[in-house]
Amino acid sequence: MKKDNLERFVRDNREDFDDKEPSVDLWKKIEAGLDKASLDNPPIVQNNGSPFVAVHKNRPASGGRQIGWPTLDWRVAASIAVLLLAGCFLYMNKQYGVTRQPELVAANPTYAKEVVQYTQLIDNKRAELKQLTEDNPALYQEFAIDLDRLENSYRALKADLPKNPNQEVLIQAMIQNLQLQINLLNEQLRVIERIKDQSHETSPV
Amino acid sequence: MEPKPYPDRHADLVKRCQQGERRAQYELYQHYVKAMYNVCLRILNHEAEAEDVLQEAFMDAFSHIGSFRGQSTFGAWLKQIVVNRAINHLRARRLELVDMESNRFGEDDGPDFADPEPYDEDGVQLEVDRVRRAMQLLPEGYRVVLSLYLFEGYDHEEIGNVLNISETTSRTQYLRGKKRLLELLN
Repeated sequence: MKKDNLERFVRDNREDFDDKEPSVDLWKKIEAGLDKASLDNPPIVQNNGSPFVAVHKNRPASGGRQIGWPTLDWRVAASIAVLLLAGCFLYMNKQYGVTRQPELVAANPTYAKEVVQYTQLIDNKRAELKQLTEDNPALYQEFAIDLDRLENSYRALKADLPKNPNQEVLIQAMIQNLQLQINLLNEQLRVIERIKDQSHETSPV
Repeated sequence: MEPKPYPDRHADLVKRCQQGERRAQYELYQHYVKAMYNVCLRILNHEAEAEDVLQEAFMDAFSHIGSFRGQSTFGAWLKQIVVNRAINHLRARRLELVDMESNRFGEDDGPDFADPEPYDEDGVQLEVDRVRRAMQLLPEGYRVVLSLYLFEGYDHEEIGNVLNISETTSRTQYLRGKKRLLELLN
């Protein structure tokens, strides 16, 4: 049985392989980089930088952790509050699309919710379409032209929204447009499926 | 009670670094810079790029040293950062040169020589310099797998994770790379 000489050779002479040296000014560059970084965001004060330190006259000397209100770290409380707020906002945003369509939410929250549901559906179907037509980009282009036409008129409607006195009618038109997009996508997906079926039948594996 | 599975001879220095002490940072840097530079160099095969990556890695390490919990030695932790940064740099470099050289990790390189026939290693004059030079001549995919396995002591599972390839691919790449290396040495 032959031993694996290469592995052994490297293991035995491992130190000799590390003989190259970087240039001497590398540390200067690192130091400069660290200085710059600490200017951008100053280091957090290490030893309990709580502004309420003075309030707790009889803090445990060891600084040991105790569960309970009086010793609950203010930073923990603050982060929980921030997380809760962020969670609420994300939920509302998902339901009503506050950031994506502020004007719509202001005009009519119920419709806004409906619009969000439709647009999500459209996004999903579009992604599906894109995936299915991966091997046929020309077909996708053709489909995309029709879709983009509808989307453009949707955008035009949306742009009209703030200055239009009869908002409800306009929003209904927008929703109708979204429904059209969904129908179109469904139709396109069906076409692709049919094409796939045919090609499977004609070229059995 | 803090579990200390790996007693680290630099634990004290690390602690001072965590408090932001520049002097301690410099001492740790001095300890590791040479070894880490050679790690970079073997992976990247380019001196200037190795230095750039090393600079980023050290800055990264020192600015995130607060998150180092002592689950491994500082050296192992640092090396992980260095290796990851070097691999990412290779990826970025390959994006630029995608048309000129398409030698991807885990991709086949030439015909399959990975037969179990034993290598004639006794006949190979194994000298450090020659091995290093031969390493530099290897295609990138082989070079990276070989330097991680042979020099950095990664196992194939770890290599697979770092390079996003399967364990088996790492294994075959290693065998082929080693075979090629020995051919170059002959």
